[in-house]
Amino acid sequence: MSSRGCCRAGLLIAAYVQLLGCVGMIGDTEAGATLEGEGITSADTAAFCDNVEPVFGKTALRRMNTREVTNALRDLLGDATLEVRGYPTDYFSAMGFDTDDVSTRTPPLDTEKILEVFDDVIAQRLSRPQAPLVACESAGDRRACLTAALPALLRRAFRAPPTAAEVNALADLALSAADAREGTTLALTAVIASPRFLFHVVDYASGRDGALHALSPYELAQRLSFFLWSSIPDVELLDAARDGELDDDAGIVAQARRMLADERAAAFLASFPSQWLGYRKLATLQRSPTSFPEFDAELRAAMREEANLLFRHVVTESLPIDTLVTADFSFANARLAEHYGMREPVGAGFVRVPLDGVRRRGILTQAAVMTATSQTNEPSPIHRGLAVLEHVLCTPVPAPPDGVATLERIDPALPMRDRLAQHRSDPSCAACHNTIDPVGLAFGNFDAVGKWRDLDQGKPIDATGTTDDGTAFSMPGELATWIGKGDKLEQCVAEHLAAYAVGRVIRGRERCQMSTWLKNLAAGEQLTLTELVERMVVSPWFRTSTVQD
Amino acid sequence: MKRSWEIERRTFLRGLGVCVGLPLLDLMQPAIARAQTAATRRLVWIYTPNGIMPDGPSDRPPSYLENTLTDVQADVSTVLGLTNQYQNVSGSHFAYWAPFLSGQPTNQPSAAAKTFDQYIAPLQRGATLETTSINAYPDPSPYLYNAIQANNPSWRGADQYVPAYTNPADLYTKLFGNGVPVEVDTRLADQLARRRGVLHYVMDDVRKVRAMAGADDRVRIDEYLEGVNEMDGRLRAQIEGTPTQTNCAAPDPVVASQNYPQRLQSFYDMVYYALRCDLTRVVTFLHASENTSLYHRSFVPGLVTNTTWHVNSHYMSPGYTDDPSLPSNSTDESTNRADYARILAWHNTRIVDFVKRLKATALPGGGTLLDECCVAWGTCLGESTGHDRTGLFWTLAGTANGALRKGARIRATSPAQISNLWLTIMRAFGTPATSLGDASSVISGLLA
Repeated sequence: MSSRGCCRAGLLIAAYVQLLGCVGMIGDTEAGATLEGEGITSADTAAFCDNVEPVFGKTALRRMNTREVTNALRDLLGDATLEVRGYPTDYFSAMGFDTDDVSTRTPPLDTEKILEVFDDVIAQRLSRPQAPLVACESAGDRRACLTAALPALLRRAFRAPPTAAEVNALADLALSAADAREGTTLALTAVIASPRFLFHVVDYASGRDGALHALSPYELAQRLSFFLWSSIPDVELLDAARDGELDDDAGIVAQARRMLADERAAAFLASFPSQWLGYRKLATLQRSPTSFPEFDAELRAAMREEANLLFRHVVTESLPIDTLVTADFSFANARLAEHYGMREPVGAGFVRVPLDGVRRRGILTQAAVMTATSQTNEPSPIHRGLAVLEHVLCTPVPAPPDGVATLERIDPALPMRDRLAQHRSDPSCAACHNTIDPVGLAFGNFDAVGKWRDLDQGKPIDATGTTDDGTAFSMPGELATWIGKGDKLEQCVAEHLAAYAVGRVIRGRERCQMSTWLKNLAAGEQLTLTELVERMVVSPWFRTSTVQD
Repeated sequence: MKRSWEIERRTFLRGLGVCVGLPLLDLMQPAIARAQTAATRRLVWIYTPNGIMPDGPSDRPPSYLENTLTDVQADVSTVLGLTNQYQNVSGSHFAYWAPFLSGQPTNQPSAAAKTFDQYIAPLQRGATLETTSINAYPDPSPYLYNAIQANNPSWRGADQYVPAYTNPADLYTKLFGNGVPVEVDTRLADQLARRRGVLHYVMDDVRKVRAMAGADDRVRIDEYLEGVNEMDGRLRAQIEGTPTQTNCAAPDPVVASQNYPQRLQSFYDMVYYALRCDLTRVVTFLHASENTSLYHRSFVPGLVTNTTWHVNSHYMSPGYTDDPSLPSNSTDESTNRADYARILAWHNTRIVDFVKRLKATALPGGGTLLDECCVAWGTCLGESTGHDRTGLFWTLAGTANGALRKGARIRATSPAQISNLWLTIMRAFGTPATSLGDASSVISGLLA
């Protein structure tokens, strides 16, 4: 089979119906078995989006993940060096995020672990100066001191002002202790073990408007701070909630801007892209030490930093979303420049560098993504194709059927393009791989650590292909540019951003809503990533939640 | 880390001092004084992941597995050729535990049906744990599967699973921790009482959050409350120095071990004593989660390759690896075959040793502990490289107090769901329920 032929058979967007067709998932969708494969763009599935009542889903009550609990404890207790050791392992959603509501559960053994971790955290904190409530230990009237100090602490911990009864109950607990230090320990432990600290609590008993719950100003503050800082709100944000500043779009956007400019936004600027594009796992990936002796901790860190810097740049410079995948510049330090075979820069720090020609363009062709989608020894066009289809274009690809021929049974001495062609000669593989493989093969010139190469198994690499709209490409950068031009990228970034921000997978008819919402938002103009973030925090997904009884 | 929410381990061990160091078997003998009735039946369901490697005629179990059964031939029945039709629901191996063990496909925990063991558990209550569920090697962050569904085999119904113990020390505390008197000094008791004050504050807050939540969120907050409650109960028991309820001594205390064979052995030791002391009557026990990343070379003699169990199971795919970051199979298939046989025989031997131990334990009223049991073990696939779903092989030992046959050798000649086997076991235990998901019939050749 010629590679051109297979690309024409349905690259990217036109493949929607075909992909679904290859396992017949459309029928399942209405049966409620799964909503993960539903389509919303092709002609055959357009009806799916017609005449739909607004649906904005609901995020289930979620416990903080490791990043959140670490940041929150450091912020609350005023100690940036606190370590959270032994917290239960995070769960990752189908979209790749550790902010998933459904899978994050807290069985009793995890609760036990959490309480032991918190004991350790309080012990760490009390071993250092100026811990909260410690000043009350030597006060003449300890109760008066505690009832004066606790409200501010609880307001931040619980993201809402406490009642007098709640303050008194904690003071009672502290004063029940044999000595003042034990009292401080008990009170601080009780605060952080409370579900109002540990969980993202939303009060569905109030604020109802029919089936929709509008988040209260304090709940909105909580959602904002966990979205942009992966932590609890600061005093300024809580004051804004109290003073009615979060009651309108302008006030919310103003706070979001302030928060994005704060250094705590690093939590979002690094976690979102690395989870979205899967390069968070760079730190633990293995590479064959004989083939890639250079793949050390320093190089991994440099790869990650390059990708993070481009994302950060697109946000802070208010650039169009497609810049992420089409940028003709990148960031490098001396180590990374050496890796790529660039002449500059020479320093240890990262600087902006131009990309020549069309070999590399944007984040997809960077070493971080190319490495994360490779095997120990060689690139994986299948992983690369799936990563682009599922996470950049939001085109779902079903899991392989049972008993399919596995690629590893095909002669490994052949170039990858030939191995994949042989694999596709089985019709049950071809149905999906006609779509997956060409996308992955377009990146064939990047080896398993993202370095440029011209040969595969001694033969020149053929990275050519044709998109479904007839655009021919022969260089990875050309495909990246084409991806940037389409409207799927914007929608897909928005879906992932919403999933990260509200802590659940965006699926089903909610995707239709988002498509409409984006169209109205952009009004034909190119959206910048900054605008998308700012519109997201005032969107219905962010500000409301469906009430379930 | 110190287990700060409990009495220090040393204090705990002092309480245990009375039995530590004595020959356990002698000490235990008179302790088995519980009422024996004809209805006492015990289920021990054991699972090894990833499928098997046929190595002979299709109507014969693999020889390397049969060889491990030599000493217990007369005590076991085998079933070959069962079908697992639910693989597609969540990947190519199996359909999560709830579907596999209930015969009702879904990949949503919220639609999970009751698994067959949970029909049996309420009929056969142990003194301490209704169901002892164990996962000796959970997958910490399964990418393919929902973690809850992949790591916990027993389900009572939608969103309700029996949390599997993954740490032997936790199971030890649960089974034997409260059963042994502990000396408590009053200063420590007061301190523990104040610790309870923290938990009570937290419980009050849980109630507040519960009042704000919808029905689906209540499940999640109740889960947290359950954990806090359990800890509170444990603190209370320690403060009061609860006297033993079981009149049955505990095995040596175990500590958490990263060493897999030790951890597995600790779990088997505890299951043995728990059955013997009647602390539990239903056990579900995973040697590892499906698709596991467990490596065997450090403890299974003779292995040449050093790959995960799942990669080993693709023995017909030379050089295979399923994770780009992990080592791959040998490029020589015969090497992979030899290794896979050693790995599966190693696991089968652990199970057979456990069966032999049950058989060597005489009951006061005659017969052996094995007679009361149905020990059933197997996996979700036939031939593993091709994810064959029709050649499942399961072994049963013990008669569940005369309800099951010994020595049967059954081969399904027409498609028979794996759920037929579960329904057969339910029948042997006399559950009121007479159907299970898609089970079409019982396997009558297994019933006495």
